Amino acid sequence: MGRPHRRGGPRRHERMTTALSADVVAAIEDLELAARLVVEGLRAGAHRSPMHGFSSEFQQHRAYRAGDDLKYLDWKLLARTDRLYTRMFRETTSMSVMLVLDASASMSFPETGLSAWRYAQVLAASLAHLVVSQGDAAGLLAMSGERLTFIPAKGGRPHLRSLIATLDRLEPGGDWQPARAISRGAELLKRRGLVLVLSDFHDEEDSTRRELRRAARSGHDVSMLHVIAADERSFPYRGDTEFEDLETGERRRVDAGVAALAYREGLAAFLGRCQEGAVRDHIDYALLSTDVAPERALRDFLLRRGADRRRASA
Amino acid sequence: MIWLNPLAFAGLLAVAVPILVHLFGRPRARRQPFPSLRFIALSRQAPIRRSRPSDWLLLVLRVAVIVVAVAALARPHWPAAGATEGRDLVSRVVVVDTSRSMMRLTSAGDRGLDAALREADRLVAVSDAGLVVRTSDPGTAVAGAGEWLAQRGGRREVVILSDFQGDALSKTRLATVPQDVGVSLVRVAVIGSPDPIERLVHKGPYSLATQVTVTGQSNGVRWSARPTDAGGDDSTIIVLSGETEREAAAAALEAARGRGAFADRSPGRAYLPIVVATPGFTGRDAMLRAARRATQPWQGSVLLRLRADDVMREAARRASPDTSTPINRAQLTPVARSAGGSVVAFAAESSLEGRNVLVLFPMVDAGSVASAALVGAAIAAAGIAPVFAEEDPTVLPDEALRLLERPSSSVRPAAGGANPGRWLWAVAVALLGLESMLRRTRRAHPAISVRGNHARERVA
Repeated sequence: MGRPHRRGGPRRHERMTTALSADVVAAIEDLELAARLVVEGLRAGAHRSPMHGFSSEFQQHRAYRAGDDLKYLDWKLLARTDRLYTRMFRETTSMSVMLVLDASASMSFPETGLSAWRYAQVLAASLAHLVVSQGDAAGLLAMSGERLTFIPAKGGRPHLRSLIATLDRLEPGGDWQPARAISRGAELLKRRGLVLVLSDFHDEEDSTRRELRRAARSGHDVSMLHVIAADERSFPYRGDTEFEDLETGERRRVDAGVAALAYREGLAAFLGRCQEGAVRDHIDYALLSTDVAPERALRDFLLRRGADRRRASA
Repeated sequence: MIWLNPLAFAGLLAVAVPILVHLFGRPRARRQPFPSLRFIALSRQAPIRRSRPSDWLLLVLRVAVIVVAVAALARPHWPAAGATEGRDLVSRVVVVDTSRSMMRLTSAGDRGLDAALREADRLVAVSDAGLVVRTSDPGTAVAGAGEWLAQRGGRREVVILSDFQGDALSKTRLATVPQDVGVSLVRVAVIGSPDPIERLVHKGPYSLATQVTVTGQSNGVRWSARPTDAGGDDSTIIVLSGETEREAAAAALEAARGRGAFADRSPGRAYLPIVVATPGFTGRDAMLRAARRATQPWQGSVLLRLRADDVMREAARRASPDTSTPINRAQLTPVARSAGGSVVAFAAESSLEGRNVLVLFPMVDAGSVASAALVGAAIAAAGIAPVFAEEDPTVLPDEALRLLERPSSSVRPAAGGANPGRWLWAVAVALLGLESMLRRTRRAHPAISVRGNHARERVA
């Protein structure tokens, strides 16, 4: 994996300029292309392969790039040739990643602009791309009402393509039964692996937490990717507004300006609960707001994950 | 104060709209789909009630806007200072038919014309602006009346006082009156005639023999057209002389007849003395020698009418006048020219039997069409009105008159004058601005009242 890069510093600057904004990502119709762009942006100057298998077999050398972990630097070769090479490994036992995706109607908010659903789609596709291109296996379990879409975790380009195509065809609708979706996702992952849950976590808070905890205890590495629309977070409404629940269709008419205060309080408490629960249960948690470029959101998540992992292994 | 457009008050019905909206309308909330209502539920808050004082104020303002706008549409009018009470606010042209049939008596015993003139004076007296037009052909006067009225404001109408005989009045002529000018047709009921209308012309050209002396001469024909009771100063003298064939003479008469020259000899009408001296007329040379430039105003007007006569112009255009005879052009006024530019007829002032007359000298043969046309034009110009209608006693029925009439309800703003409703419009616009201002503050208002509610809840 990886292409030889020029040595030196300007990479960081390039990365900054090539980062795709959330709006641009939303505008790219082709999900696979969006995912590839995000991943490529992510890879440029990545400090460390974020998803790294455990038992690896030496595969090849590669010119050292700034940011590569010195752990992998071939010191002997340096001594012999006075050149910097990084040792590359091929993972012998690939990791399985199950993307559990909430495709409920609430994810389709907002109706105009970049919806939480599209954002989650891009994130999921990018993660799948990232995982597969590292030689790991990626699977998908999406739930939209009673409809469960399942793709088993496998590696390989053709699989990735079909996974992304399936992901692209999905439409948000119905509700989301987190207990069922998460437990199924964990079960269907045959080996111990990584369970990434992308959702707005609005439904059934308690059973969600319980299932996440159970999945973590059964040995899976569980992450909560909490996708939240920018408007949902900022609540920019004013005046007499009738809110309609996207899942239940229930309507509630309030003065939005007045309701905003209580709403923000309620939301902050909810987000706090989510995060606290995740920390308590040793679950990775990331709050991904749609106004942040998916590439950056993903990078932050992966870097933090890597740091946590290292801390845990230390 | 009066209202120029009272129909606009029907617009007051529109007042019901804001009242109904106020009673039944609820402000439409903006719909907003949202992922989950669970945090919105925490701020449970009933929509703002409508019955707050500012709402009532809004209602009053809205109603006031409509009332003021309707009042402006209804065009209030304050009569100018000094205007007599009871006057119609209308500009009127009263066209009085002075044709012969109007000489007949009404049931009251006076002449129809006199009754019509009295009515005309009365109508003009009660109008804002008025004009009486006396004409023997009301139809032709209508267009001019329309023009005069077009320059005036307010309600306008044309009133025609006539006995409506024959086709004196037709729809096409009334069509020349602007659409917003009313047309009122008032029939003057006449029952009889002091002297029966003479039906002379319809009996053919030779029946004119009673009035026209046709003298056959070996070297020409002498024509003399003279009303039977001629002799007074008011008589018409038409003398047509010359060497001509009988057919040509008949054509000349036909041309004269075309204007119905001889039938109308009502007393009290002035006729202008015009002599047509055709080549061959005995006194022509003497008249030519004595000719002097026509100076009398009436002569000028006759010349104008002659020149404007279409038949005369057309006949002259085709004529080939004699230009060989030497004449003293300095004292003569050209009346008509041929296509080649030669003068077909001259006019001059002269004396005949001690009277000042206008003499017309045709430079064409007496039997030619141009001569006949000149005679016809001269008879018409002599002030003798066409009275063929008088020969036909058919009278326009009342139903036909009603069809031709139209009300003068439509009102045009006075030209150049201030629009009386203008300041009302300004008031309406100001009220509208006040309304929108109040509406805006009302929108901002609920937040305050809700906080008040919260406070109350906490206290409870």
